[in-house]
Amino acid sequence: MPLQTAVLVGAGDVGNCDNDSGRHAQETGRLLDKIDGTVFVAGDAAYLHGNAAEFAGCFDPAWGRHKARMRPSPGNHEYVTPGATAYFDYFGGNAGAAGLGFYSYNLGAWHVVSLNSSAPAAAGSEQYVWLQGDLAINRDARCTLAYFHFPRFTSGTTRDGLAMIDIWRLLYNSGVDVVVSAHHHGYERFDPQDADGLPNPASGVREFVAGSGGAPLYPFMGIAPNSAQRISAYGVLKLTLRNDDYDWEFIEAGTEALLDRGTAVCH
Amino acid sequence: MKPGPKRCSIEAPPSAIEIGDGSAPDGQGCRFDRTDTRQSRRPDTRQFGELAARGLFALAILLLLFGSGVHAQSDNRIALGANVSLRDTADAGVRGRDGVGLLCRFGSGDTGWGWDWGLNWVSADITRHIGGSLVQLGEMHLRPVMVGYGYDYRRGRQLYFASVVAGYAFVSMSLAPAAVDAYHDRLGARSVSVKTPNTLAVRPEIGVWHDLAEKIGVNVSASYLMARPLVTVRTATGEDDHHIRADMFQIKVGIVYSIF
Repeated sequence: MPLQTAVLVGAGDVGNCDNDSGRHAQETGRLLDKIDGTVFVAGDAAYLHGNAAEFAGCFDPAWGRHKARMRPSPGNHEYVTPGATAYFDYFGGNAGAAGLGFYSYNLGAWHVVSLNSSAPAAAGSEQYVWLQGDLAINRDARCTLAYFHFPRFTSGTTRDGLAMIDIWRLLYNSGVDVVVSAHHHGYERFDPQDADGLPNPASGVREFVAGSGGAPLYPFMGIAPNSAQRISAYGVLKLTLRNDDYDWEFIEAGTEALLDRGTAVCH
Repeated sequence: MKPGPKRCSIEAPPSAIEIGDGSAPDGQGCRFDRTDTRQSRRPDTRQFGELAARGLFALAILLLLFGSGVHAQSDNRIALGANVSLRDTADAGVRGRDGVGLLCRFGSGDTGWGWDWGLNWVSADITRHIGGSLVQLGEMHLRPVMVGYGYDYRRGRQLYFASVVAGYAFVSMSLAPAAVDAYHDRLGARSVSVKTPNTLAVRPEIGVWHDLAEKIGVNVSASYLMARPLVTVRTATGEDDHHIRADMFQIKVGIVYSIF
């Protein structure tokens, strides 16, 4: 297979007009101006209610110019508006089928899955069954990445994402390499682990939390097991995806400093 | 006893500073300040003391520079200037921010009783326990409209004053993302809203005007604003009441220059 390189960059928890008049979301948006590739939004794109006015007034001015290359995932603030209708209206087909909030696509040599952690995700749920089928169809993909809003693991104040534990187990058992989440407002990187949080350097899933898009930062509450890096800063996570491996960089808004970086090989 | 208003005190947000006049010609002062109490910038006791000391030191320097051999501001009709406010709050979950505001003075004042009135704009970041964790609940805006009575005492170039004003406070509040997330994560609430009924407010104040020169006056005052708004958070699982003690102690130091 010829060498393919693709970039997936983004964050969650973005457009908050009440946080310093949205300045931080505008700064992370300016980072995107300088980075080509697909932009992921790991939920909570528009605060506080995820309604149309907030998408138009708080998210769009900051990140909206990249909308054509965005592949979002919904968060809990989108669902403050019943059915997350404003989210589906704003992103249109880029958010997958309206009302579902989960879909997949290929990016370079990678298979990428966007999930809806605000929708039922237990074993047997519509989303779970769809994911089983999607991963089975794409089992030949050398590298796979999934993203959704609620983190399964976090050192933050938010509760661990037990709602996604069945999904996580499925992702782990299917050999998924990377999971990106948000919800905790900050950046965190975990070492590869299984769905129960046990370290597994060989075949574990590496989780990133990138809730650093512009909403007010939350404090970390201690250090969760396997947590390798925790940064309270606004910024975007840039993943450079190659055929057999990937780079990660957490780029701080404003300074453009690389606060975290590394390389890993797919399973 | 003197008829009519003597003094007005107006504290306004920076985006809505308005010059109003409730004073009679013998009125004394009219202050336009922003009162902004925020959790993240609350000075601790040491900081507050240091800031107060700095303000008083600056005032002492002014008194040394202008305090002798000059005329009183007795012919003043309207004087404009600025003041610095040092603030602290009584509730650990409510925090204060120091600020700079406009200051004006009508007349030069004389001994006697008189009406007083005041407007405030208080913003406060509120933190509370939600589901066992301390999180930021949101930002509260308190806008009291107050009237009351006060007494002035003229002694040479100093005019001492004491007053109590009370009134109705308009209250509003915006939830913080952290509160919505906390209610979602810990209590399973997908939709969260907040209700904040209006409340009453009382503010006693003491202070002094010093006529530094024919056209220059300085002012130092201390006040304590008392307000106890109720915040009710509504979710699908029920209502959660938070009684907020939004009391605030303020020290202000200001200077004005006569323009008429």
